Amino acid sequence: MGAVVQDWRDIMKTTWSGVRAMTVASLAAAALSPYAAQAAQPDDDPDKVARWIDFREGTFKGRTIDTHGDAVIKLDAPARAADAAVVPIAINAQFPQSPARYIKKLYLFIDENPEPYAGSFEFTPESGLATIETRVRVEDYTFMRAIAETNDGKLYSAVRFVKASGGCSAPADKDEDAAERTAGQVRLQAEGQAVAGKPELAQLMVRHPNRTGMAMNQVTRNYASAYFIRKVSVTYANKPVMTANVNFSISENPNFRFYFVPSGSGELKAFIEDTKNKHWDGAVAVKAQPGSAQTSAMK
Amino acid sequence: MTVRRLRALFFTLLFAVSTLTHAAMSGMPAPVAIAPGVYAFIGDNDAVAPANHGIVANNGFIVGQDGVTVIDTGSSYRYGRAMIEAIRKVTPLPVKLVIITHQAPEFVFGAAAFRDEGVPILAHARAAQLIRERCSICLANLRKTLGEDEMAGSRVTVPDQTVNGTTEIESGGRKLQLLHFGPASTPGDLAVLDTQTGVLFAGGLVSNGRIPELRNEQISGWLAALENLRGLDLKTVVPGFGKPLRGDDIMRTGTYLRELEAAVKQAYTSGVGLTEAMHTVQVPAFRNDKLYAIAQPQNVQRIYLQLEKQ
Repeated sequence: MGAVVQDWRDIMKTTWSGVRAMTVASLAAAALSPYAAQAAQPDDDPDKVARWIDFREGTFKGRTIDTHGDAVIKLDAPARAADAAVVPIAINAQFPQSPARYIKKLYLFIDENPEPYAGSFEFTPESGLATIETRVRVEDYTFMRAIAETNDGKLYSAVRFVKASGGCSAPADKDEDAAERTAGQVRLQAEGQAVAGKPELAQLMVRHPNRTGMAMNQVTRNYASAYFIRKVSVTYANKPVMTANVNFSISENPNFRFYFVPSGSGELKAFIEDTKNKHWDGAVAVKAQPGSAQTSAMK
Repeated sequence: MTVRRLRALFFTLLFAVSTLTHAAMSGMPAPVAIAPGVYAFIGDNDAVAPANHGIVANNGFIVGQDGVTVIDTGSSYRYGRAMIEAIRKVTPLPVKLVIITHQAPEFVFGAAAFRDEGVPILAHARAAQLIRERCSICLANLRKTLGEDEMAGSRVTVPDQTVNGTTEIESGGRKLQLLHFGPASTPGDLAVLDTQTGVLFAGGLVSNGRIPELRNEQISGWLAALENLRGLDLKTVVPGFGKPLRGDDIMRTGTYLRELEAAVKQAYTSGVGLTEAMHTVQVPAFRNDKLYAIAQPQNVQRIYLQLEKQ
């Protein structure tokens, strides 16, 4: 039987002699990996995706979208997501907001989702930086599109391909009633020391099941109805800085990171409404250190 | 010889050749003799991909006086069949039992081939429950990655025997200890110790040269389980992934978990957002391990979200 059976000590030997070669190979792989990640993105032809075309025509009425919008927004999403129910994404604005030039609205569209339009985020010059970070549900392997509308009415898009699989380790089904009873705890905070006139990062977390209405409870075999946060309005010193109109594409316990420009002291306030017309709010006083007059928005 | 006869001979030969090629699964590793009567199939340790036919994880078998015990079954029905054939080349003794060490796609789907032969399948009760509830999703994912042909015949196979904790069994004339240290890499991990040779099949608890994919883990329990295994002073450990190890080398898995957790905690408490943390939180000593590029950001996400819930 010696022919079909290898001795494991031989394998251990090859391991050691192979170490040097492997290190060199891995170094090469590590150096190449950013390019490999780029190459893994399949080509997108936005003129061939029926549901995207429908949405585009309905929402933008034939206006041109610059598909090389890298100078305006970048979409950051993992190429592979282990948990399709929580895929972290960031739409990163590439220039600071100013009254002369700013991003007015960001749209998020996920081609393969049952409801592909995930929602929109509106900004003002007071936002400082029209960057939004959140977590979304993603069905399957899909293109994800972020569209920025600037104050001059121009449209720019950024696209990423996401392979969301997972589910192997989905947590046990939870108690929907309990999730609903505890819904609405709001946590709003500003990150680090705010400096007057400088875009300040804020984070809003809301405890909410944000149910899709499409998931079957494995125990009861029932479908709980869709129930989600549909609107989030954030103001600073009573001026809007971020308004989200969203749906169940946002993951459970919605989490948003965004910017605002503090000036001296003022209150950051969030107002949240869900599909049962329940509403909650959160507020935090922000005391900004005096800063230089020059705004420097980029990190 | 007539043309018809020639043609008949040709088809007979063709048939013989095709049966031979079907007999062995391409990419099927030869069993490695670990100790007297103990064999392991060592997978290629990479991510599941068409090129490796999903043969990435380790599994093996222990030949006793009157039968064979199989530990883990690979990621497809075809692989399970190939295991059965490879075992037959080593021993004519029947397979008496299959032990599934934990619920993970690379370990469970060959079980159907053994069930078709009437072999009982054993796992921890929590692993059996998770296989019943979750493995249809893993199976769909594998089908998507490896294709329908590679996965042909694969189906969710729920273990029909369960244990709730550490148990000593006699299987095929060999005394085996099924070790359970509580929730660790998954809620229902088992490690299988062959008492005669001191060889341990560590399942999900130990990974050698490959970043463990955190799917359903409990890190404190996992670290405790590794300490427990180290205390056993083992001669040879067959990890779930990668080459066999000796004694203390299993602790490298724990080092990764500890360093990962600390690095994520540090980023989280200093206000780094999830997306940025997935790009920036590294465990440098493990950069050259397989799967690092894929599993590291996913592991960061898992731990980050757990911190957020605290």
